[in-house]
Amino acid sequence: MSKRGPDVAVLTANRLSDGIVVYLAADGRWVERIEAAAVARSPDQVRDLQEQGARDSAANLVVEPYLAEVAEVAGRPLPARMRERLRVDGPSILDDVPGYVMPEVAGVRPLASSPRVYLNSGGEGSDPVSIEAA
Amino acid sequence: MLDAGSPSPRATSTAQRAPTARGEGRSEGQQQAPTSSSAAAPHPDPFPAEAGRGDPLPPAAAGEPDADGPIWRGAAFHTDAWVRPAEDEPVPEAPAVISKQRWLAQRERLVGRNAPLALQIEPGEAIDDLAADLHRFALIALNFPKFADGRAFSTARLLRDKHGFQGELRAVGNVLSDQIPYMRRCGFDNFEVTHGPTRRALVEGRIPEVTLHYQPATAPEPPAGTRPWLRRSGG
Amino acid sequence: MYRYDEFDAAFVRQRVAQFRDQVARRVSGELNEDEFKPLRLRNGVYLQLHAYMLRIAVPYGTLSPRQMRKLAHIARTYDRGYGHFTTRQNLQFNWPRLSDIPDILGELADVEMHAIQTSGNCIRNVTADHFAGATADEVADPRPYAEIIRQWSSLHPEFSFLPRKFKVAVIASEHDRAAMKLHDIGLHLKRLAGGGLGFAVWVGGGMGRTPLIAKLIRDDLPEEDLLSYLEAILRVYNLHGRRDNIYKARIKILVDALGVEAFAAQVEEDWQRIRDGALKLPDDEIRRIQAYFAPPAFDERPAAADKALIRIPDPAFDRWVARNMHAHKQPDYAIVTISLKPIGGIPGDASADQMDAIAELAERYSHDEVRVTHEQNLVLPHVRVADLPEVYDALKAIGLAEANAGLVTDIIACPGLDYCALANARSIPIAQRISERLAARQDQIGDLKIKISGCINACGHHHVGHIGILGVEKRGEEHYQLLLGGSGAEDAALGTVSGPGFGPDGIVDAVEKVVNRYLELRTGPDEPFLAAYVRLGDSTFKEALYA
Repeated sequence: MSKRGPDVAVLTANRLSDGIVVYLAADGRWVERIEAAAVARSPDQVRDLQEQGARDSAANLVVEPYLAEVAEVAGRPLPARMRERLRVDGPSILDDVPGYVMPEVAGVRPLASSPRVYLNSGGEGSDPVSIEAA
Repeated sequence: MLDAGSPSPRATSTAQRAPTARGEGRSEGQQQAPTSSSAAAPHPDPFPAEAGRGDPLPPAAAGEPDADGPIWRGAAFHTDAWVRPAEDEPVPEAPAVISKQRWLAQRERLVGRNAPLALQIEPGEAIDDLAADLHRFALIALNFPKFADGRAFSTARLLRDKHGFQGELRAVGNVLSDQIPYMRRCGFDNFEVTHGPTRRALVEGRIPEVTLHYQPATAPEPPAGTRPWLRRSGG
Repeated sequence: MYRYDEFDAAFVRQRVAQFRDQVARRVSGELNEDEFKPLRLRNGVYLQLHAYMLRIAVPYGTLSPRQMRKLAHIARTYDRGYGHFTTRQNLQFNWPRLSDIPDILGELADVEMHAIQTSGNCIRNVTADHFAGATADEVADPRPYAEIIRQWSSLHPEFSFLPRKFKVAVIASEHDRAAMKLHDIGLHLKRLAGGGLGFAVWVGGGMGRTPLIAKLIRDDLPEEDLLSYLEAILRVYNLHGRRDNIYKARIKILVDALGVEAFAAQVEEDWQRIRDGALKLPDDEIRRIQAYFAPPAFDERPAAADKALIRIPDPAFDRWVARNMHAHKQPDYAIVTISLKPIGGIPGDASADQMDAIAELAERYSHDEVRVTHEQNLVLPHVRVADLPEVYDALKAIGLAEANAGLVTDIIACPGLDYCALANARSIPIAQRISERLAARQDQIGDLKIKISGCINACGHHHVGHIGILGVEKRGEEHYQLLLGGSGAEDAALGTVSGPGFGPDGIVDAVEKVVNRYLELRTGPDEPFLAAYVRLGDSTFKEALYA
């Protein structure tokens, strides 16, 4: 990562209402899956992400947006730091947590194969859950 | 500059200032010519009678009710009757707030003045060395430069409880809704508020307070039951 | 245990209403995050890596079955089915929604619980010996005093914006089971020369970037002067603690900078002014609070008159009794430690079902009381020896019957980078792997406290582990320092770093090497690790690690 900031990055934050990790997508929505995140590959794009993040933070959608450096591996953004990888995957020890269950959320169900990813009820592989500006 | 236009020590409204954006400190050097209404009208004493507070302020320094005024006292905003000359400007013959440093440097000169005098204390400044002179100040302002800097809560209590200070105690600086109840309990009786949402909350009576207290503080508070330290506020 | 009266109940209700308003103002944007953060911290709400975290106060680690059941209910209803018990005797939920938190706090208020001041620059949960009221080796139950301090410190108007957090612990025994000397204020209840009760007052302990052991500033504080003296200490700290650097803002830095005598003199000066004022503790108030902590109605029937302890010989049960029991002051009773450290499991976590089961056990077998220890275990404080087999069987059924209290697998670990936004490295997986590696030899190894922190903030208390592990970030990777010879007990000592750190695999090997060297060189099974370390010094262990 260069001193001026990451060269290839996504913008990540926590959703204000529930604290869940979200990523800024190209269409301006905040999504839970990093695969759907907008990847900035130039300083201009990086700045655009940051500005959008600042706006949405001021609009009380998200809290503490920041840039996370990623590498693009097989078309998917892969975070550089362990911290960011943990934010994508959730705690590394969830399989060992006693009693761990995902809560039922109206209209959303967990994907059978990856319990840490939500999809909306449109069926497997459909749009990522996102939040809209109020 | 500041003092040239004041015809007498009892002139008012020499430093009325519209609320500025949150975070700006007291503006210096602002003066408004006394309006006809303020020069002529008697000043209602907005200073609520509180047990143990001693005599009300002389009217010159009390400010008058003004929805745009910066000083919250009792149940309303008021103009600020005090000016704060810059360190290198002369202290006007008008209610003036000076720094501790200035007081110590110019004490002999200032002791004889007629107009009310106030002190602004910064966090970290000692007050014990002022003990003998505290009665000379009609008001002491304690600064909260960042809202997280809680030193002035202790300073306020020491001024009241240790030194018996009976003048006005004003909180200035970064004064926000959620601290005002604590400030009151520590002996503050008025507040310079520039933060917009805090001003609105005060006017609308919407400061969310816990009115039951587990410990005695400085403000006189009636007991809440028979357990020794329980108090309540808000009547 | 303490029971709320009308005042206490109304107080928490007001606080819930106040926070509900603050959350609404945050969501509406009237408060920005900078303004909201100190408010939410004062209600125990953190923003962590994956979600918000809610830290619920468990005053001096004491819970009723009803409270434990409520925690289980909250875990199920608002969270993801589990909770984490912390090194300050509190409970953390890792996935609450901000919008739900006012409702959670309302539910907690229903059972006389709250999350007040579990974070923020204010006086935090007052912790105490988790064997209080049950152990024979205490002068008196320290918890009434902890309760008195808890009340006095709640929303204290002068001390809500301190330079930094402030932690108080109270013990009443020569055996320090609460790491009292590692607190901002440690209070040791004792008999004074005149025969009355009073305190030795220790100030300026703490871990983190600048670990320090507390200094004794007053040896003989009469109990009636407790609150006024604390107020004087807090006032000196509030006025003079550093505010320019968060790593230098604790009271330990101030005490260290001024020197003990000068600090104590400043406290004394203000205290003399206020000691006879409103904060003097009336004797009848002390007795009134003490009455809440009166011993339960113990079953006085001698064990022999009860059902015979006929049981198929069960070495596992015997080991559990030998390891997880502590002597009770009442004949035929025992203090039972429930280890929340199953081999290879997550230290300090309990599922909602486990919490419910433990609540049941507390009701049936422990006179309605459970304790949380600062070593992330639970305690049933008042169990009849005759009931131990049933308790053991019930714990076995929920996977919490590991006989490892104080053993090498009874590891303390902070949540670490798996959860915590402050962390540099993960701590839980390291604990799991050390536990798995050494479980087979844990009885042979004997008493050995391993404590793991994922960052310098030291929530895992690594400075006072017999073996301590500190997670750091080195060139973007997780890296671990090893410390040796710390202790949080009455022989308080800070561990020393062994040398260069290790990677995630290396640290597990390193711990094993240290253990092996200890086993080679100890005088016998009766010489525990810490004693051997003190005798041998660290050079032989360094050699084992780095030669």
